[in-house]
Amino acid sequence: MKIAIHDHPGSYSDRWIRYCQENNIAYQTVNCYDNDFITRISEFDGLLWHWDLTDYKSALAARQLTFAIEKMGIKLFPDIRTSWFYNDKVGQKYLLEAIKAPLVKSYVFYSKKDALEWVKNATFPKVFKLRSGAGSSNVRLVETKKKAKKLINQAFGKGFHQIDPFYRLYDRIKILFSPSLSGNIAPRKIT
Amino acid sequence: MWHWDLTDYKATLFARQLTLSLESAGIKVFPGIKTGWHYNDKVGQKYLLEAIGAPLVKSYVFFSKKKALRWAGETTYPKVFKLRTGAGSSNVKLVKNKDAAQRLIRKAFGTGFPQINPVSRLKERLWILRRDKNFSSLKKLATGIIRLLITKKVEKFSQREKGYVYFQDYLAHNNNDTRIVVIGDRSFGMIRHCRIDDFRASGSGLIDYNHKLINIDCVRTAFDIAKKLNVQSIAIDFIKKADVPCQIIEISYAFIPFKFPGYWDTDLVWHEGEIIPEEFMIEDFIQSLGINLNNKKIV
Repeated sequence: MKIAIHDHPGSYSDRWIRYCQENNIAYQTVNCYDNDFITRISEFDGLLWHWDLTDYKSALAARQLTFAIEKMGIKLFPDIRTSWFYNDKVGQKYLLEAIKAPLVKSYVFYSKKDALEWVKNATFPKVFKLRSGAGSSNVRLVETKKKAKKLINQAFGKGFHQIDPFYRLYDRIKILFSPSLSGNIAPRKIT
Repeated sequence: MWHWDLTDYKATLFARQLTLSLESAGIKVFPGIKTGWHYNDKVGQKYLLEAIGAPLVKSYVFFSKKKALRWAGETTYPKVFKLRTGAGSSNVKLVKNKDAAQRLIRKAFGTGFPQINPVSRLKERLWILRRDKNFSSLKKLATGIIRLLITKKVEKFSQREKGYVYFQDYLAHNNNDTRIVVIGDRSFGMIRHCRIDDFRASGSGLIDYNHKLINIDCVRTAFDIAKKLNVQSIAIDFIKKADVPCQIIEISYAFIPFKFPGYWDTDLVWHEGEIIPEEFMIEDFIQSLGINLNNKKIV
């Protein structure tokens, strides 16, 4: 048995590699983005690859590689069922609705007309989100119809950046001056 | 059943997500995720076809500018540059030397490329006018000029292609390709000739439906691939040169339908008589639901 691990320092791969070393498990580090990766992976039984939204390349190739590698009978973490809806709130809405999970009521529109029509009878506040983003980035509280309409116009106009540098700066300042971090809340201890 | 394709920009935003969700809930979908996930995605197709050992024309993908530039300095030319998206030969370019390749690589890792290029579309319409020489092709040319200035939704909402670069080997002295479709246990196809003074066949409109011209090796390979991929519908574009086994350029679940003159079964026996591909799709789909055509559940 031979395991391939996509080595990306700072990701889960640090621990996975250490685990294999400590437990004498045969592994090899690989780079999933290599042009000849399909040929390379064919000699392995499994692939561990911690990709996420901080690696923009994964959005271009991770799911495609996962589909293809599963077809070869090679086990993956994360496999396609585990990962396809990662960082995709629209996909999650469909999936959780499909299995009747208790998702907070979510709304998605692909036409400006439908979205504006919905606003007419919707109650506020609502939470606006981009499909992508973690750590509350790209999430806003929408208190009025007017604000909702403005966001809809932007969504069907010039759109939104996945990463908003001004918002990021604002968020970092907010955390810096947040009273709850000035001593009232202790760092979480594991008991 | 949902026939989505690249002309519907909304579909790329959620068709695969919806399909995966419905399949998770046990609802059958056409195209199912196995059939549709790699549609209009040549990078995905490269991985998938390599994974099943299919005879894909050698293809290269890079996600790092440095690696791509190094490769461009060492490889042979000409090569074919493609975006992962695009149909009818749009977004496809012949790259004759290292300089041209490196220019494309810098752009891919810089401003990127629009999925729809209005200038190449206009050139395409000039070709159609040259081919057909009629009023409708003249009208197409005129709208092509207007659309240099006014963009449609599909252009406005399509994201730019960047952060990767894709090339394919160029097969010289070739003036056509062979498209083979497999739906269930039937196959049919056509020969597409290249545009005049051009290496691209897809989208040329110069089509021959005479099945006798098609090399049966392509049909055999197509059946084999469809089975391995377990897909409901697939169109495979092959290049077949004498004495060389057929090679795949790309695949697609969707294709332009036509009343084909007949089909081959899996024993490669030809059945003469006009067929309608959309009907094959729905016939197979209904059967997969366990419903017979009298609308009664098969127990």
